[in-house]
Amino acid sequence: MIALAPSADLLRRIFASPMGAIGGALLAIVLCAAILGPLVVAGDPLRQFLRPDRIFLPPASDALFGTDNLGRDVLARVLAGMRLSLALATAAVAVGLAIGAALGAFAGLVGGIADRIIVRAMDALMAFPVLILAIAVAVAFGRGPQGIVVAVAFVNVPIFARLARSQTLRIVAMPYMTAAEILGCSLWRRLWRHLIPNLFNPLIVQGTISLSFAVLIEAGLSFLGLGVQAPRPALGLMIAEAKAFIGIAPHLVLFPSLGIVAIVVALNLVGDAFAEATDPRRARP
Amino acid sequence: MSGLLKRAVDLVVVMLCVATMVFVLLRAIPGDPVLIMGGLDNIDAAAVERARTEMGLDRSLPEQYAIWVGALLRGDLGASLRSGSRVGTLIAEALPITLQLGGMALLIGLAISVPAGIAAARRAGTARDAGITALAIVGISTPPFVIAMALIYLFAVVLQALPTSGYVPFAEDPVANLRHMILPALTLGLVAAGVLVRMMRRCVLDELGEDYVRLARSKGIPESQVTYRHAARNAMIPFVTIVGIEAGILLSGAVITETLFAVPGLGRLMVDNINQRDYPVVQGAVLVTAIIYVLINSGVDALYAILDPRVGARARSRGE
Amino acid sequence: MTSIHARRDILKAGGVALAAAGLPLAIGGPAQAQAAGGTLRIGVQENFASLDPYKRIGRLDYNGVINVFDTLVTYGKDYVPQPMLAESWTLVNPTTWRFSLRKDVVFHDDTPFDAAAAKYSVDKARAGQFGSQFRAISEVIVVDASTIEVRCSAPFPTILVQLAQQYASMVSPKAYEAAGDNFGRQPVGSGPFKLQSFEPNRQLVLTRNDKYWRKDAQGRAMPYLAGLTWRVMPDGETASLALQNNEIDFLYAVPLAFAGVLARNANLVVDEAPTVGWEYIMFNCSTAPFDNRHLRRALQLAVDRQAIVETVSFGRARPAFGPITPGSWAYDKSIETGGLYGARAAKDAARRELAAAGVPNGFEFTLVHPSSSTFNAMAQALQAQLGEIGVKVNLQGKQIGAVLDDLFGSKFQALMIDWGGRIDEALVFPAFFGTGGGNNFGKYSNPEVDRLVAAAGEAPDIAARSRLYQQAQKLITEDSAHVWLTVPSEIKAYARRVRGFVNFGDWRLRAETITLGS
Repeated sequence: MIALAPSADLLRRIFASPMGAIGGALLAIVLCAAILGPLVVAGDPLRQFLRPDRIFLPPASDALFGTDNLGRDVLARVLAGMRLSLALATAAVAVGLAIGAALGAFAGLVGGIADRIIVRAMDALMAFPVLILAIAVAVAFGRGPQGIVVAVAFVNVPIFARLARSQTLRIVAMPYMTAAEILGCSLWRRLWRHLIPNLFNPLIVQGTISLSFAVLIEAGLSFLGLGVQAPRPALGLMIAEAKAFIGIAPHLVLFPSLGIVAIVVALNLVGDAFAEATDPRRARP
Repeated sequence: MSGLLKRAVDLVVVMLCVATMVFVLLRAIPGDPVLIMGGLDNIDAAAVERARTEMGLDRSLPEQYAIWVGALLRGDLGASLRSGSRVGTLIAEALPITLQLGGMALLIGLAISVPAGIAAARRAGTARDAGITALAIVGISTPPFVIAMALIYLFAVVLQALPTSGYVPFAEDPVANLRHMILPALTLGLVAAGVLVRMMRRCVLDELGEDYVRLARSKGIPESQVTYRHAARNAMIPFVTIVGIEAGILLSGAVITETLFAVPGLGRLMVDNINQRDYPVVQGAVLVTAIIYVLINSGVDALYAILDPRVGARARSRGE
Repeated sequence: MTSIHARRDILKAGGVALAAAGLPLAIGGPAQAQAAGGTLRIGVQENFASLDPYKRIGRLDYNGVINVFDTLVTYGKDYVPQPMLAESWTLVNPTTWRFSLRKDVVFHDDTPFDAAAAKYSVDKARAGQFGSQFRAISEVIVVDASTIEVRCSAPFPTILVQLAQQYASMVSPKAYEAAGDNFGRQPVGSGPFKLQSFEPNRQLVLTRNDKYWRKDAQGRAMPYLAGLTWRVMPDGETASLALQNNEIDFLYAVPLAFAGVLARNANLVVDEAPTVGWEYIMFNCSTAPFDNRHLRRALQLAVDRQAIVETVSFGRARPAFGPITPGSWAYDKSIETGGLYGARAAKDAARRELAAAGVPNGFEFTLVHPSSSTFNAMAQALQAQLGEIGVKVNLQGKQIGAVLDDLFGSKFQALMIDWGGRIDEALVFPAFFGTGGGNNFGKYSNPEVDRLVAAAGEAPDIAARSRLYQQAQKLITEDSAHVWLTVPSEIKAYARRVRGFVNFGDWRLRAETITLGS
């Protein structure tokens, strides 16, 4: 029936499956590393040591992940970068979800011309190659993290809008909605008690999947030099700068890459487990 | 028939929206394109003004938009602000390269994902299945530029076997062309394989749960035949639609991959020109990419409806 | 490296009459008799723009220009002017030069090189991007079919070095008139190679000019190569790998991180020569905050150049103490210890300058720089160093094209870039530090510097010129028009079978002496 939030039962089912368990564990590690790591690890992601004996140190020497071309501690930078990626992706998906869901639900409820316009607009947005749209928006908004957040949010709005609209249409057609209307429930009450709770699960599932894409897009944008500017550590930017030294210090490419992959794998696993747990058709293994 | 006409009209409307969005987006980017581009050649005040008039940048925005749409409907994509070359020509040069890259990537992706997906479905729930799924998840979780650099490191630094960037036209030297394209295609192909493996596995599993499979098994038909001749074949129908969508993504110009490997395709054309505010080129390139995307998706939708009559009927009854 | 004594000879007043008609340039032929032919594949990391010598083009374009065009005068590795299309010259009177031209030169379009073509080209140079270098010329006269006379408004002893520059190349008047603005894509000169195809973002293909006038010391026709292919490979790293994989024969600019790796490769030659240029920051002296001299000086003093040289430059550079570099005949070693600043930072002195400017706790500005690996690292290193005295630097890394746009339009507060260097200070000081100079995008102006530089341009002997440039340098460093960071080395790498390449240290690839062995 109505689920206001992932029930305890649902959560159990998610993390009971092997995918969910591994994903959950990995996500927990990633979150701990990103959020707590910078507090625990001694290195400063920005502190340079411009001396020949401190640059390009290999891993497992003085510094666990080695140092980069300016003597900065790679472990500290990777942890800070992971934190940044998660923060930006979460902000972007949250904004995209809020705007998209509102638009989609509105379109589903109101129907008519407004619905047609919104649907066409969302189709047009989705016809853009994702990265190009993100690049154009990021360039338009100038450098810095706000450009990335807006770009990734932009890309996510049509996805959530379509989802919210189709779910809204389905829910509004349900008998209990008609019954509520006949019984004299106000529109607002009907929305609050019936529509929004039923939108919740599919939106969250999509949100988790979108998070993983958001991290990948953010990595791509910062690889291209948009978004967060040096010397701040963004994982994609670190990889782009490390490319020049791949012959002499491949660890500078390896560790930020592992950082990105860890985050995205964790999000994908949890998102998939969530999808499987909430989708009645997927009861089979 | 009316359905087809409706689709066509829809297509045109979407394209118009895309064109409008591109126009607005590009104009939002700060910086006067004439001044930005004038820097590299003689800055001559008269030439700047001439360029401005030629490009119509001295007219108001609504006027510019009207000119843009009018030209579009005539099939004229304009001329590059920077070099004066026709945008149509630039795109015609870049498009085949992107298509070749996308095609090779898709082939590689299918070659990996179809057998792997079937193998995983056959042994669903076992270690082999988990292993394949794990690899697939890593595949979709790794940014393409990371895969690219791992491949560069392996093939160029360690093995010193393949070129690491650049492009040679096929007509000029087919072997060199393939040698240059194999690493970028492999990069995109591996990512695509990651997505497609799981889809193939899902589709095959869905089929294996159907009644006719149970019937076939109870008739004593060997498991391998059930899997390959029946389930896998039928799984291709829904699989094709996913491949269609993935093809659209691949063909949309794997921007970063093209930039990394210095392949002069559509994606690279867009990125190179966005920073230089060469509006007509970017507008044209994005529009062409979007058209390809939409055409492929529409084609896939239509194909699905033809292949699977149940889908067509359901769609018609829903009045879509 | 450079020979100060040879240069002193050539710069004596009264000019030099070189009577050697048909004198081949001082190079020998290949050591053994090698088969001529073969195409040299060169990897470069920037796009080309244009091969029009009179437009504002980049260093890479000049490498195309030097192989497609000739100049009246050229120079050898010792930077001493030598005859090229002008066989000889005399100083008719202190303000008039007379050049006697070769009669056996033909342009790629089969039109003859004659006095009319020479006049056309010199006039084009005077009207081109570096026209200000030829300000002293008032008129070029055609005396007869192979003689021109250059009349100046003042003594112009550095006319020879100016005419040896690519921006004074000799072009086919017929082709230039016909092509107009398009000449940069369809260049026609008289040089050892001619254009076959040109895609500025992908490659430049040149083929042998079979009618080239030059012969080597054994009388063989030059050039030896059948052609040159310049390939644009934006990635320095993959370009280095391409060289190791034998996809290219010659790497025009070796990324510093790879110099060591390539040097260990037995099949490759790594050729490193100090340049006479700088990696530097240009201040915009016409706007805030760097219209304030104290703030410029503060940055000049706060930078630790030694640390940058040892790390960012991988030790393959030297700290720069001013615009005059160690390779120049005007260099005075005492500046390394007695100048405004040393190789290490002088943070206290920097803080005093900040206080004098009224901002003892620091200030903020934006630094534009190319987004190449070296400059990214250098910018971040500087950001950290300046942060130590409270100066906050906002970095804007951009593609080199966008940086040049900002530079040429003076749209910056501070801009970091490199300068390839020139063989004579007369080509540097007026352009960079003279009021209204062709490279003075920072709008630096000091009338006393203008006076010194003008005098140095006309001074009779090298000792006097040296003194004047050093005095000018003192004022310029005290004013801190730029922050000079390092004097980089020019590092090239090529396969062992590439013979005959001579590195002048001026960032030019002269291909006519190159042969490809087996």
